[in-house]
Amino acid sequence: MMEKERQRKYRKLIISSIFYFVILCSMTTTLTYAWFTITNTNNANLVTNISEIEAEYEFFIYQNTSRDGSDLLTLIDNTCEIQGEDMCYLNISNPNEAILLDGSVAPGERYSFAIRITSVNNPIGTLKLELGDLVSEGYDRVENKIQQAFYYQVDKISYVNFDVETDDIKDEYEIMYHSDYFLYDNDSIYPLVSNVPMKNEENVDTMIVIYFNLYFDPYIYGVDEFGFPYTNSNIFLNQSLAIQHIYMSVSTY
Amino acid sequence: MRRLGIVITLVILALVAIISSTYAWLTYVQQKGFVGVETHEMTIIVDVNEYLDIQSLSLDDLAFIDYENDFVLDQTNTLNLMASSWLIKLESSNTSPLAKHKITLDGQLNGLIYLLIYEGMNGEPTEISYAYDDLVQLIISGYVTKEEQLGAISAHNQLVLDEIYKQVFAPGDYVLFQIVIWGDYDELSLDDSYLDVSFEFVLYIESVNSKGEVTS
Repeated sequence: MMEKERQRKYRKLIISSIFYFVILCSMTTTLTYAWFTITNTNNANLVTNISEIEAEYEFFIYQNTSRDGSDLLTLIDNTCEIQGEDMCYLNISNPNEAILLDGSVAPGERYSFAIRITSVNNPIGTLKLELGDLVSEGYDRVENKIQQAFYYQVDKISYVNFDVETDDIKDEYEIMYHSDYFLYDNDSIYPLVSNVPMKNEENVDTMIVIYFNLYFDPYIYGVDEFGFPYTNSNIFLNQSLAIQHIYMSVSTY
Repeated sequence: MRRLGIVITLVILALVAIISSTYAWLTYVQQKGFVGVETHEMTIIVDVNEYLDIQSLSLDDLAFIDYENDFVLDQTNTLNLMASSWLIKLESSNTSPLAKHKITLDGQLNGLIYLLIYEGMNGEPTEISYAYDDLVQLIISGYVTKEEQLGAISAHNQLVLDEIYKQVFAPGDYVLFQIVIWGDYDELSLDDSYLDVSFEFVLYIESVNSKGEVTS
C-alpha cells in the first residue's frame, strides 16, 4: 500500500511538473514574441537601464574655418590637440544638448562629424544611429523651414583596433546607411546607419567610427505665398536649425 | 527521485530559455545632443580715411601733374606729395557668414590716373605706406608708350581687385586698400575753369557668401 501511495504521489508530481513546464514554454514563446514586437516598434522606451549591453560613444565635430567638410576621414592622428586648431576633429564631451556651431552658416557649406562607439561588456549585436527632434525657427511658412536645405550623408564607417583603422566598410556586412534631405514636414527621426556589426570579422575588441556630414545645399529654395519657387536661398536668412538629438541603439542578435 | 530531478532540470532549462530569449532581444539606447546652426544676413562696414560708414567722401586736394615729367620721371620728387588718396577699410560684420566681396570702380575716370594698392587683410592702418613712386616705377617699367604704361597700371589695379575678391572674410575680418589719384594735366581741355573740375568716383561692393559667386 505504501509503495502504491508513493507511486501515485510521484505520478501526481510529474503531471503537475509537466503542466508547469508547458506553461513556462508558453511563457517563453509569448515573451519572445512580445520582445520581438516591442523591439521593432519602439525600442527607445524599453531599455535605458540595461547595463549588460551598454555602449558608449564619443562625438567629434570637424574644425574647418573654410567650412568645406573633412577630406581626411580618420580619427587617427587627426583629432584636435590644442585650442583653436583647424582641420581636425574636436572631441565634444558628453553633449546632452545640441551644440551650436560657431558663426553664421551659408549655402554651400559642409560640416563633418564623427561618432566613435566603444562597446561596454563586449556585446555581440548591431548598431543603429538616428538623427532626431529637428527644430527650425524663424521661417515665415512651414514650406520654408531651413531644415529642408540640409542634406545628411554618411561618408565612411570603419573599425578601429589598437590605433589601426580599417578602410571604409559601409558597403559590407549588409550595413544600411542613408543620405537624404530633411523634410519640412518631418521633425522626428531620420535613420543614419543601421545593422552595423559591433565586431569585425576577426571578432576582436574594436571601436566603430561613423563619419558623416551635413551640407547646406545652395540650390534648395523656398516658395512664395503663391507656391512659386524663389530663385535663391535668401528665404533661409535669419533662421536657425537645431538637430537636437542623435540616438544610438545597440541591439543584440 | 531521478524523475523528479529530470523535471526540476526541465523547469530550470525553461527559466533559462525565458531569460536568454528576453536578453537576446534587448536593445540599448543612448540619446545625446547633436548640433544647431544659425543663418544671419551678410553685412559690411566701410570706412574711408578712418571716417566710419560714410556714403561719400570728397577729396578737395586733387592735383594735376605732368604725365611725363612728374609721373614717369618724377623729376621734382613730388609724385608722393601730389597724390590724393583714400584708405578704404572694408569689414565683414561679426554676424556675417563667410563672405567674399567684389569691388568695381566706376564713374568719371577720364583725366584721372588712379592706382590701387592692396594693403592686406586685418593689418594695422598705422603701418600703411604713403610712398608711391617706387611702386609706380615697378609697374610701368618696361613699357614705353603712355598707352602701354596706363594699360599696365590698369592691369595692376585689376589684380588688386581680383586679390580682394579671392579673400574669404570671416566675421570681423577686414581688408585695407588704397585708391591713389592724380589729375592728368595732359588730358584736360585747358581752360580757366580746370581748377573747378570735379570727378565722381564710384565704388561698388558686391558681397556673396564664400561658396557663391557674384553673377551680376
